[in-house]
Amino acid sequence: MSDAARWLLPSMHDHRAITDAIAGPLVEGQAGRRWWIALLASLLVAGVGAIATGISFAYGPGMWGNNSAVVWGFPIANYVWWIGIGNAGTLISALLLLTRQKWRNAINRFAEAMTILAVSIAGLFPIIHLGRPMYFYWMAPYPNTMDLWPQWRSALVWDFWAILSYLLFSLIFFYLGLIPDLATLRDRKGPRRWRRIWGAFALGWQGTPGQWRAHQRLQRTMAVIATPLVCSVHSIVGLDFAASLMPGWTESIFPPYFVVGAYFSGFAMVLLLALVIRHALGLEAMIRTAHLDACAKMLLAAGSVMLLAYGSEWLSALWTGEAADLRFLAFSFTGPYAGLTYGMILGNCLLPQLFWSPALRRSVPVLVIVALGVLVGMYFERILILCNTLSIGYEPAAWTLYVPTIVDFLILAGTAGLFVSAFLLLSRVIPLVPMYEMRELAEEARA
Amino acid sequence: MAPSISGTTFAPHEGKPFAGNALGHPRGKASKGKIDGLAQLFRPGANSIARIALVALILSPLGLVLVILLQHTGYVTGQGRFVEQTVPFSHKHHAGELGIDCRFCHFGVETGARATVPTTEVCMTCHSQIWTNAAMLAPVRASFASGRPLVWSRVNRLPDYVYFDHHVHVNNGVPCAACHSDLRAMPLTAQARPMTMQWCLDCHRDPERRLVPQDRITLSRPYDEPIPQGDLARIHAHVLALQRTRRLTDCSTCHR
Amino acid sequence: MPSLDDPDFVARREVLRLIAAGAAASLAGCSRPDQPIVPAVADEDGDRAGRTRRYATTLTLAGYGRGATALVVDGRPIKLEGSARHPASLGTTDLFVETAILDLYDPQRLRAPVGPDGIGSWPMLERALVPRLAGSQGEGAVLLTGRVTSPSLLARIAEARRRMPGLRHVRAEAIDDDAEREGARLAFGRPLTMRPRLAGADVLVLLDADPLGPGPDQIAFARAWADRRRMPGKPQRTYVAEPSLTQSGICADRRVALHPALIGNVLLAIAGALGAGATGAAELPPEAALWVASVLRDMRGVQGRVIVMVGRGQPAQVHALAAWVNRRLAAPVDWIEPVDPDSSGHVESLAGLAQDMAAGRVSTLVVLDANPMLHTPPALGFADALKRVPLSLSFATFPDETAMATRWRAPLAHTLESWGDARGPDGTASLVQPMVKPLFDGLSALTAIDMLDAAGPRPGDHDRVRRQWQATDDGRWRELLVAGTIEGTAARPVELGDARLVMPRPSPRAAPMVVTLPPSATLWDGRGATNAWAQECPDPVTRQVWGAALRLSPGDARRLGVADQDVVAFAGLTAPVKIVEGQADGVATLPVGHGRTAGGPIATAPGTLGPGTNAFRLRGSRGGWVSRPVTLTPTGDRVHTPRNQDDFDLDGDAASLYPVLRPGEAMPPPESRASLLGDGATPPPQAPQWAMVIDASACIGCNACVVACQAENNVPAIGPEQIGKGRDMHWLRVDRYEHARGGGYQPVPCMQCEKAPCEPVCPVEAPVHSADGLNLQVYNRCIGTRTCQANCPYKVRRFNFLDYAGADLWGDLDPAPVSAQRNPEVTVRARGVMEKCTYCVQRIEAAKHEADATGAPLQTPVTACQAACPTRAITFGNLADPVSDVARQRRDPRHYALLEELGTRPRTTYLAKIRNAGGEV
Repeated sequence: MSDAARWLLPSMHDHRAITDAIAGPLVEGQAGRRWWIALLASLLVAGVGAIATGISFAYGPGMWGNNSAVVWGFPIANYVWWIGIGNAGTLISALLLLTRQKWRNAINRFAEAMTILAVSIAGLFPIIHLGRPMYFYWMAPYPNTMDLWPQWRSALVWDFWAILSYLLFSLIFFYLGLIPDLATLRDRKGPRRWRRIWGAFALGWQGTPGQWRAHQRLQRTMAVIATPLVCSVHSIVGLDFAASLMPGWTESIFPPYFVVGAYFSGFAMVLLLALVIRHALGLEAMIRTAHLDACAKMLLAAGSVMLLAYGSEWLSALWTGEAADLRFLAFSFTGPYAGLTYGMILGNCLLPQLFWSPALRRSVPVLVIVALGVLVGMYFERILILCNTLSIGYEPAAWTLYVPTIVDFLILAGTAGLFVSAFLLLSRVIPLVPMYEMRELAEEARA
Repeated sequence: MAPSISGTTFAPHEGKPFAGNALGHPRGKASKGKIDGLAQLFRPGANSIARIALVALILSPLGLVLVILLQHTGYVTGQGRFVEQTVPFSHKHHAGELGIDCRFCHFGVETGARATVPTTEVCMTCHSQIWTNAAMLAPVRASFASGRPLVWSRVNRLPDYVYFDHHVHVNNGVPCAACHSDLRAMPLTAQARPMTMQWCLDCHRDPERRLVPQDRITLSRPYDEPIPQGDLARIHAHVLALQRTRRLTDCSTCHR
Repeated sequence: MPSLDDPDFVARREVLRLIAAGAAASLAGCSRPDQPIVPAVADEDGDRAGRTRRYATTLTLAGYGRGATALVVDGRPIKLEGSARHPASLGTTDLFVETAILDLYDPQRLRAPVGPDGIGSWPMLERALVPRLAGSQGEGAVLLTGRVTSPSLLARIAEARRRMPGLRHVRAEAIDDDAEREGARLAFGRPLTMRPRLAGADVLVLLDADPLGPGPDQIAFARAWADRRRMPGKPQRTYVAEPSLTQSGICADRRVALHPALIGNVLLAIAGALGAGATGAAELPPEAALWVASVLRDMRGVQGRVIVMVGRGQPAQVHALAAWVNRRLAAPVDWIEPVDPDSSGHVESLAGLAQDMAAGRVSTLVVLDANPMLHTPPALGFADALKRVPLSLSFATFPDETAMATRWRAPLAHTLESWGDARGPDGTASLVQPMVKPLFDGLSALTAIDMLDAAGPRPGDHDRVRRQWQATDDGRWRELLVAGTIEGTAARPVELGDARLVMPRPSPRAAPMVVTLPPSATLWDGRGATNAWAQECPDPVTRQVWGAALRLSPGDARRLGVADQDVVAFAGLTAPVKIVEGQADGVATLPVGHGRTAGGPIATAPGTLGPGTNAFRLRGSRGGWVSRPVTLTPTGDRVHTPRNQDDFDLDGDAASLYPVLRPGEAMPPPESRASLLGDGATPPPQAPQWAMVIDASACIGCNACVVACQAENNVPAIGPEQIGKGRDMHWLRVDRYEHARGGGYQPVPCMQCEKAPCEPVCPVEAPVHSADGLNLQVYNRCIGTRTCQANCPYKVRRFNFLDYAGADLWGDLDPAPVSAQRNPEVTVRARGVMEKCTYCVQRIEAAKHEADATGAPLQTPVTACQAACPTRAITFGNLADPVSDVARQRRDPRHYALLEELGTRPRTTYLAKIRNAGGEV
């Protein structure tokens, strides 16, 4: 049987079956009780997070654990973590599209949705973490009566632009892929109100060969643009740190290693979502174990690269023999944060090694555990990047430990709540698996 | 691309042929009813609405331009703004018609950062003799009697983090009029300049054009008649000497 | 000079508050509120409105005067600096002078007389007081003061006593000098005060003495010591034997930690070698014996250039023997008649008073600027005795323990609000003139006596002081006021024969566990406890703030099984432990001055520590500064003790952070490293290039610079909770380091890097470089990304995590008066803004503007920290001028830059610490 057949059950070889399977659960289908419970719970958490953020705005950054030495804490870690997760979606849709990976068809849609949500959340933090958030727009170059411009040497300014452009791009890319499906929904039987909305956004898609050709061309062109863009986003995040002279930050490896780390955490999230969606929406026929297996392989690869990156970091410290770097190394393995360090290594490097075994790659519980392990491990990494360096800089007199406050944790939880609730809502109004691409697959499978 | 094209030409609508306009409105009566459920989904006007919406979306950033332009208007900078005062003091009358020197009241202007708003005593030096019971001067007399200070409203306001120093400017050829324009023509005092950082920098970047010989400092229109060559040369030399030791655009010049 | 009820002044304070608020508001980017301009009614400041004026005056510590200069703007004193003419100031200040300005505006101050039935008024107080005194010729009346050296006040008291023979004057200072005076009496038969000339001491032997530590003499001693250390070619050596690490101990060349009981033995050993006779019994631990041997070796051949000093913690006999040794060695030491005319013992007179009060022989007690309830040894039962006094009154600046215990308490004016005079520790007299009318309706000490002596004439304080100094003609009086210090009033050394040889009884090796009770380096005897700046100023030894812990040696801590912050109980008190390297085994140390139970929120509730522990409670009925034997028992509790520094030891390569050299040794030449940071725009050719050099050898860690900076730059105090979170706002921190080659202090202001790592990383370019080489921080541009501090290897930037400027440390009290202290030339920073040392850019700009406006050449400004430094360890100036002090010091072989290897090219650099430990360590 053809390569396509691997990714689609025979039962799904008929277009109507695909359409019904995907479009069925949308608005016309009843939302289950579990959906409602999940939504309310996540909204509650998001609300609490919003309140915590409000508190920080009202009283200032002093509500967080940051101190004179460790001036960056959770907010920046949240930012780096979420933007990392946001990287995977575009990778899947763009890179896998360019490399003609059939299995992407099933997962790219919700991966992109994930990207947009994650990047939007991440984008909040550069503003939230400011001492004077109301002036965030000073980072943008606009003619003003002060004759002042942002400082182009600062990685933070480029961050500002990287996030913004990446967000806009992902939105357009996501919407582009959505158009044919919106048209399908428009033309199916269903609640009139929703069909009008879908119809409006379908922009009058006819599915004429000309439209298809244009669509294909645009999608591939954007995919080509996407790839360097997505790399740039997280390399710049890496430069926020690398372009400094603090021990543990002055690492030329940071940009690539941040990008890999990003895909890594992103894929873990995709895997998690895939498991949830196929279970919740009953799409086992389209999101098959073969898909999970593929994701697992990606995790394995990335996890090994992470190990390599860590190793090279430690090696370079030992190699240069710089007092500060050695102290940094000793601190990260024996200091008060050592627990996090080992947690990070366990989650990011060791757990994925389980996937050498094909059986484990297909076992749902293992997949869940590893995916969670990676997500947690990556958060530890973000925290450690900040706290190790800032806690023991060059001046022993200034050494200070970082202790997050309840507000820190609430804001972090809030972001998760926001993400989940937004995703739950999306799952009701747009097809989380692209119908037309599945049909393509079906065509091939039948051929 | 063959498979995908063949797959897609008719894929979206399960192979039904479909004819409709941009937003799925059936074209002509003939086709009406042929396509189930689509009939009244959109009204004909929808197309134009959609197009307008798209155009608006693309043009929306231009709105920012307006906001930016607004910053430069007097509405934001306060240029040309009059302020109600407890005593309607007229520079036109005192400095203009009576020809009282600026420094008679603003005695600090040549020796300190502040030009000094005159004390009640200064007002009373004359007004204990003339207009001794003019109604409009009642607050002044009250202040003098009670020892409670007169409260004026600020006209030229710089932010508190701007440290302006009068005597440095006045003693280096910057005439009063450079910032206050011709007060002798103002019955009520208004903010004559935008007082924005940009406006300050205009001069600090290129002071030479704004400097006048020391004897013109307090003139109403110090720039009007041409400055004689000798003075121009002197000013030029002065600025050069200054710029050998200073960068007038350093932030610390005004901010601490 | 206006007062609070003077509308004009209120108005100006209003304007000032507006400035403070306005700064915050406009930083917060609000629209324009209509701002008032409030000119004075009468022309007070003339054309100098808004400019700083300097007036000479005097502040006192423990009754001794130290000349000072008050910087006054628009009738508000905002800063205190030294007075060059005064021998106890020498143009510089100490922590206590610097903090005094905050006391002036402190909202905790007493504001009105308060009687048994609530808030009263001055007339009510007079009605209650005067009849009792006048009627009985003052019979049974006692005036209790601290040490009084003010000629005018002494004269006034004497005058009052002529009219009221019954009135007794008891003087008792908290930090007494009983042992010293008694020692001199034993040695010379009469009380004398020892005045060491440290500049003449090649070898300085400090036995439990801390001349570089806090006290009225700190400035003079430290300056002399530092000047001697600076003499080229003739290395001085300082020996210290002490129970607990002190500033002198940290600066010593050879130090030995000893139980206080064994200090006597050390002196006996030294005296024995000088022919004092048999001292066999005086046994010493080996390291101490070695130390003594080394001392004796160095003493040979430097006759007349050795000084032995003994601390107030030692018994009179030891002081007497030290006097004998000094005479024997012809030490450069003067003996003068005590400046304090009252030769009775402090504790002794308190004991007498307590007895009289208990016996009901005291009908009226008037306490003037003293706080016996805090410091009187508990055994004397002063508190109970006070209850038996029918009419008691306390004139106090703050509602302290005594003021709260007496029937009446009445506000006493701050020194900056009164006329007066005082004598320095060497007898030099100087004048006290008011800088501002009493803000809180307080009376000066002189007026207070006027109130007691109702029958007497009331010419007013000014006239009394003027008459005291026979300044009959105005010109002379003016001169005196301008000078502040009165020439030729220093006490003359007395001619003495040999001292009588007094041999203290040697003490056995195994001495019991005791607690030594030094004065607090930041609160002195506790009067600093109401001062937020003093509370937040780190202790020079432990770097602890807002409270003090019980210092234990690592050995004892191990034996007790306690760690830092564990609470131990002893003699009915409890205190958290701080383990200190260099603490002698078998002795704990707890500074006095903490554990206040009254005085205001700052004094009584230093946050996480609670009120703290009052070490005065450990004093025995005969006084002294060593407790009776105690047993320490861990309670199992832990309390958080906020500190500014946790790690003092520099091991391995880290030692390069604090290089310590032998005399004559030079720093290795710096290897030039490439910097990734490019040069900014090239500065104008003739622009001055500001730089600072700090001599680590001269720094005694007194913290004067830290608080001077705080006062000059509107640096807020943020309280123990914030410090506990690892936040602090001091722009200048004085780090203390120790390693194998030695230890000492390293003041760290902003390095003003030429290639500043903070500059390129800020997205809005708030940190920028000026043409004269300053690394500026533009507060109003800062949006608070904190990237600059994250990337600062020196961690010298400070962030306003909360609205610190508006924050209210004073509980329910309105902090508004405090804003009147703020320097109008410096922005009050808003919440969320990064701030840092700017080399006092406001002073630099003032100098530039003066030069520009008058065409005069640019005067090199003096930074606040530089002006404060008692040892002149800080040099500031123009690097571009090759003959400037800074340029010269940069050529010194001891010169080094902190973290030079990073290639930041700091403008603030250091001269390495010199430790003259000698070969045989």
